[in-house]
Amino acid sequence: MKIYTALNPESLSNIYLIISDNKNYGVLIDPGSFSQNVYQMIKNTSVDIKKIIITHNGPEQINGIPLIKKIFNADIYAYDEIILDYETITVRNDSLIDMEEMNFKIIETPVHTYDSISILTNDAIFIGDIFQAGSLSSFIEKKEPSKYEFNIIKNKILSLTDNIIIYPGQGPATTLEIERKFNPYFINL
Amino acid sequence: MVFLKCRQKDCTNKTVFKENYCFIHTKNKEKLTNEIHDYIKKNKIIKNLNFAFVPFDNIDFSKKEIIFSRFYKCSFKNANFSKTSLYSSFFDFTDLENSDFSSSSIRFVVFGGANLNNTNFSEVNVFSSNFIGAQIENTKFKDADLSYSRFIGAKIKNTTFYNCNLKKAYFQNMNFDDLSIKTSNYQEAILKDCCNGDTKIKGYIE
Ligand SMILES: [Zn+2]
Repeated sequence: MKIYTALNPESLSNIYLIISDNKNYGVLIDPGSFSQNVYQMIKNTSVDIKKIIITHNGPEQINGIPLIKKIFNADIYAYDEIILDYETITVRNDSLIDMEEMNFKIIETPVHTYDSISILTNDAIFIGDIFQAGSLSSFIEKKEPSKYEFNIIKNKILSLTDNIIIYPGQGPATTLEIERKFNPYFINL
Repeated sequence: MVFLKCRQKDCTNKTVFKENYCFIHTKNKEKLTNEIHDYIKKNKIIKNLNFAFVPFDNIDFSKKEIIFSRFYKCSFKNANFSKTSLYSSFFDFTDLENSDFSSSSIRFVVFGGANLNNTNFSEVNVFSSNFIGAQIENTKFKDADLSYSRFIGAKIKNTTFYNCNLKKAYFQNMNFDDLSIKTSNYQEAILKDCCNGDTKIKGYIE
């Protein structure tokens, strides 16, 4: 399994492409754009996009879908039943999505938005906008999650094993160990 | 980047290089270290490999491509990464001493929790990389593009940021003990609770 990152040129959010080791199929997470760099990322790997997983229903996560659907016959997985005008395969806590040797487990993490899900696969987790490396999801607005939301992060994400790599919707990747030791909002959780 | 679990009972580490055990549980560490060093010497592209805990002293990585690889808790003394291309790789909690990253390209790379001492980041192109909680001493960032990278909670000492692009680079709880930060566009950085000596220093977000 390999994880490529492209940046949505408008929102600077991350669009992830996960491909299996035999390089036939790919999964896109949060394609908020299908700009030239995203297209190029897919083209360079020559994979067929079979699945799109949306961490939450926001423009920065979904706006690339219509163009992607013109090229690839990909199913959309999300918490919401309809994304743009597309019917989704709805997911809930513990839903499993399989593709070739890859499998993705859904963890409901309603922080930031009611429909936020995190996607766990092997040693990686995609957390959407529930937090970012070393900070919270909205460091600009200075809006802190509620205690209930902090508990979701603590119990469902920070409790995973140290060597899990975290891929947030914005900013660089990080690891569970780095966040537990250095994220100023999590040190005392 | 999927690495298998070490075969040692109750060990949570991943298998190292092409072995069945992690480096800690490898019986002949010296032999494996030599094999790995030899592999690095012979291959220009280092891809999808786990090297956690392996020592890399005096190793030449220059002009190589390092992709989807993990170097967790590795030690690097006098390592040469000049003109190396690093992509989506993890140097978390590594020890880097007297190492050279000049003119390298560092994209989506994690150095969180690393100890960097006397390391050269001149003319590097760093993008969306993570230096969270790193201890950075006697290190030079010069003419470096550090945009969108994060240094939250990093401890810096005698470290220069000379003429760097700090656009949306994110610093928090840091004391820049050197005036060189003033030669960079720190006004475009995110600076939360940061100071330059005794003076509070402000970016575009405080
Ligand atoms: Zn082991």
